[in-house]
Amino acid sequence: MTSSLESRLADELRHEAERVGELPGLAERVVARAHVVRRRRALTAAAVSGLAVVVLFVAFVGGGLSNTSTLPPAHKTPHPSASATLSESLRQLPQGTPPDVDYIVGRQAHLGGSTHMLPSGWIVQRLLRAGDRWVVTAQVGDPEGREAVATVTKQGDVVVLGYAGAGLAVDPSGRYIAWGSASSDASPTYRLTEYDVTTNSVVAGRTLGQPARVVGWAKEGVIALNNAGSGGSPVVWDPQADTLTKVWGGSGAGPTFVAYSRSHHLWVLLDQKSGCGVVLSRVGGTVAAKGCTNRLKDPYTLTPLASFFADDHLLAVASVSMHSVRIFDAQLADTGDAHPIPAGTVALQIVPTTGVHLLVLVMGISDRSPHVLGCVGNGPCERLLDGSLGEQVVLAGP
Amino acid sequence: MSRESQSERDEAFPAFVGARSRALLGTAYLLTGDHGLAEDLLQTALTKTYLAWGRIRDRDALEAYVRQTMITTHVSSWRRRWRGETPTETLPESTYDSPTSASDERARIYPHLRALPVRQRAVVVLRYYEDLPEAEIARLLGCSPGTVKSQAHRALATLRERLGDETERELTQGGAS
Repeated sequence: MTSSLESRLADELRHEAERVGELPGLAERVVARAHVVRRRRALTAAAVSGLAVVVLFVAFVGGGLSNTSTLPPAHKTPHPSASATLSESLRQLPQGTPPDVDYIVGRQAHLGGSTHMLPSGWIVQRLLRAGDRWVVTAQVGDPEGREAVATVTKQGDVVVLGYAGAGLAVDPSGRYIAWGSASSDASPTYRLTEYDVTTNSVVAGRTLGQPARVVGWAKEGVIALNNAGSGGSPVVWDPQADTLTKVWGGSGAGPTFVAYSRSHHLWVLLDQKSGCGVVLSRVGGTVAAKGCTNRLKDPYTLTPLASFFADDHLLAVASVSMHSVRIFDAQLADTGDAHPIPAGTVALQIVPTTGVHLLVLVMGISDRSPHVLGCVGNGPCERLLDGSLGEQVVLAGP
Repeated sequence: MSRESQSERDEAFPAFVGARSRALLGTAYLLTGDHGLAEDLLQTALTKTYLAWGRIRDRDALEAYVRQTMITTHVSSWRRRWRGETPTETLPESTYDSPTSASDERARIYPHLRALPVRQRAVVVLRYYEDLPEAEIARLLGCSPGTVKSQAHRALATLRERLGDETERELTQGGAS
C-alpha cells in the first residue's frame, strides 16, 4: 500500500527533523516562563475577584452611587518580595547603583535621565537608541499577536509606527529603523520596512515570499535572517538599491547566529550546528577571521540579546549550563575570560557599558524575578537592579 | 500541589526535557516549518506541561501530553500567529556551497509540505513522521478518523501534483537548453 511518495515523505521528514539542534537551558527557561505565567494568572484572578466584589457592592448599594463614580484603584495581590525568595547566590552579591544605561522596568521607562510610564498593558521586548529618541517593540494586546513598533522621546511622547513581530534594528546614524513583519491572512506575505524616525515616514519596503527576521544593520544595509529554511541564512537588504544579498550559508545544517559590532563595521557569523564562524568586515569582502570551536555549540545562549560582539573581535556570549558569560576572540578560541553569574539564574541579555565591563540581565529561577548585574573583570558581579515577580526588564542595547 | 509532588517535578522535569526535547523540537519544526516558531511552540507546550504536572498521573504519558499540547496549540492558534509558511518568492542564491546541496534532489518534497494547510501538514507529520495510527491522530486533532483519512489523501494528492508539475517543468527546461 505504501507508495514511493509516502516512503520518500517519511524519509524526508526524518531527515528534516534531524537537522534541529539542541536547546541549551531549555528546562530553566521553561520553568522561569511557567513561574511568570502562574504569577500573571494569580494577578488576573485577584483583579477579577476584586472587580467582582466591586460589582457586587455597586449592585448592592444600587442607586446610591452616581454614574461618575470610579472603581477603586487596583490592589496588588500580596506576594513574597523578591528579597524574600532571593536565591543565596544572588543574595550574596553586593548591591550597586542602578545601571548607567537606559532601561525599562515593567512600564516604567528610564530614558536619558527621565522617567516616564509607558501606556497601560504594554510589555516591552526590545529597546534601542535611535538618534535623539528610543525605539521599542512591545506586546500591546494586538489580536493578531503582533508587536507594536514605537518611538519614545525623552519627554515621554510615544508614537506607534507600525506592527512588527520579526525583529528590529537601527541604522548607524540613528535616523532610520527597520523591522520585519508578516500579514495575517491565509497566504501571508512577509515584509521588511525601513522608517525615517525624523520625518515619521516609511522610506522603503520589500515584500518577501519567505519570513525573515531583522537582526541588525551593517554599513551595507539591514541584516535579516531568512528563517524559513532550517539554515536560517543571513541576507543583507539595501533599502536604497532594493537589493537582497545572501551573505553566508554556514553548514546549512543549523541556525545561523549573527552579531555586529557597535561601529556596524564588523560582523561575526556563527553556524550553531557546527560551532564554526567567520568575521566579515563587509558584505562580499574578505574574511577577517574564521574558526571553529565545539565550546560554542551547546552550552551557550546564542541569541542577539544574550551576546555582543566588539570591534576588537571579542565575542561575549552567555552560558546557561556553566553559569558564566564567556569571552571568545575572533578566531573563536575561548580566551579563558569568564564573568561568573549566580547559579540558579538564566542570562537573558548582555550589554557592554563604560562604567562597568558588562551588564547582565538575568532571571532568577527561585525568586522568578529579573535582576540586572554589573560585572567587572573576573570578579563577582554587583546587583544593580531587582525587578519584581513577573516583571519585564529590558536594557537599551548597542 | 503537595511539597512532595513539587520536589518530584523539580527533579523529573529537567531530566525529561533533557532527554526528549530534541525529538519534540523535531516534531515542532515539522509542524511549523520554522526554527524560531518551533522553539516557541515547544516552550509553550512544555510550560503548559510544567504547570499541569500535578494532574498528569502517568509519567510515561508525559511525552504524549507535550505532543498533544503542541498540536492543539499549533492548530488552534495558527490563524492568530505570525507564521513561516507558504513561500512564494525565494531569497537570492547562496554565495556559499552548502554541504546539503547534494541532497537537494531528495529535499524537494519538503518545501511543498510547508505550503500545505496547517491541519493537512499536521496529519502528514503525525502519520509519516510520528507513525501514529489514524485513530490516534483523530484523537489528537479532535476530529474523526474519516477526516484524518481525507486530509491525508488531499495532502498526498497536492504533493503528487506539485512534484509532478515541478518534474515536468524541469524536464521542459532541460530539454530547451
